[in-house]
Amino acid sequence: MDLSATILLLITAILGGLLGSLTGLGGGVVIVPVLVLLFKVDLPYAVGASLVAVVATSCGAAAAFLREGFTNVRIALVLELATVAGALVGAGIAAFTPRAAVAIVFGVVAIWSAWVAAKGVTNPQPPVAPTPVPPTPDLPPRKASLAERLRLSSTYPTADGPVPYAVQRVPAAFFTMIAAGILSSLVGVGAGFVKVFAMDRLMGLPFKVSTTTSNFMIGVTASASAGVYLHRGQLLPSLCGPVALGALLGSLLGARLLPRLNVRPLRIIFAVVVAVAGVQMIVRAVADLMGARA
Amino acid sequence: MNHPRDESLNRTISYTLRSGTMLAAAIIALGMLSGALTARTTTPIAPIGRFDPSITPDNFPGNLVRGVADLEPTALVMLGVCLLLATPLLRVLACGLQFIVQRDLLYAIIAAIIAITLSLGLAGVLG
Repeated sequence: MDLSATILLLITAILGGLLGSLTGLGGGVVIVPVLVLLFKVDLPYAVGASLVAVVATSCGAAAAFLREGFTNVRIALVLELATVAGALVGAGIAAFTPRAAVAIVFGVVAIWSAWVAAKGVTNPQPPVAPTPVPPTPDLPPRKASLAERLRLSSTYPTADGPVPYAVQRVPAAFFTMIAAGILSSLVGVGAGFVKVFAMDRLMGLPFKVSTTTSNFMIGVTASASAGVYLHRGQLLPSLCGPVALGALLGSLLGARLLPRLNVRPLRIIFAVVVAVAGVQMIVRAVADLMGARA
Repeated sequence: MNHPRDESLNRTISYTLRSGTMLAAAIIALGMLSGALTARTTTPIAPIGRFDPSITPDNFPGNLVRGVADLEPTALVMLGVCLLLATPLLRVLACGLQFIVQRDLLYAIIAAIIAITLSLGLAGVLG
């Protein structure tokens, strides 16, 4: 890659990291289609570079989130057992999966993430929940005891002091996380929306705890699969360098801008772009398949 | 649960993540900058063609060390990428150490299992 391509790649990655962090869609879901559709990069290289960028943005943002006190490190560690195992399984599966299949799975993941992000707009979450969620008394005692034995319950900060929350359905969340790890590794995204689903819906965590803890875990998950791809020669320095650096700069900039911007319209526009990119990836993959048959 | 122990844990992890990411980004930037300024790429950057899984990177860690010693731009970028990938592992190790200090055996073991699995992935043994 020559200098002008590198600069173009860097600028694109900054934009991707910025929009990904502002809208909550993450970097990977943009970086993969941009590399494949605009820069004509072969999919396995795009997946590798995207995972490196995902590690960079996750680590950068997690450092800041931790100090706010929302991230639950115990929950993250327990679920990382699942995502890291999933990531390694996914990297193994990727070795035998044809490009077209990976592209189609990517397309579905992109459209799904876009849908989740766009839907969030109609039902916006308050930045800090004013009322504490009461600990669910009707919970079967056996399930609650796993969360209790693992000491997963914690508190999150509000203007009126720390609010306690309980944790439910740990085993269901654990298995969902294995799937999140496999997806992340196979198509090169953080799969944040699957992680947030498991924590928000299944475990019943407060929204901000889910999103920050999910972001915290994404770095570990993506580094496991990126490590495997490194040894397969799927990480090209000419791609990974500018993409990781750009995405990191963009996401740090996004974190600065986020409190000052109204991101709702941006989120809708960006969700549409990501969904269109997802459809493009599927269409191209199907066209390739038909071409190969003919 | 948000007692001082958790806060010191958060600070340690936050510091690990921040320093690892920033150092990695600085090395990547240095590699890219030196590549742009000197155009001295002794190993030509392979044109991005089709990925061929049968071609594994030749003598991967050895070549990287030699390249870094020669301050080769591509090798510097790759060193930064490797450091970036190692940062989450460092974070898990920092968690584990902190849990050992707190005498929290269960979580020290969980952190150790993740660290071992992650190391195997990063070392190219698994996957």
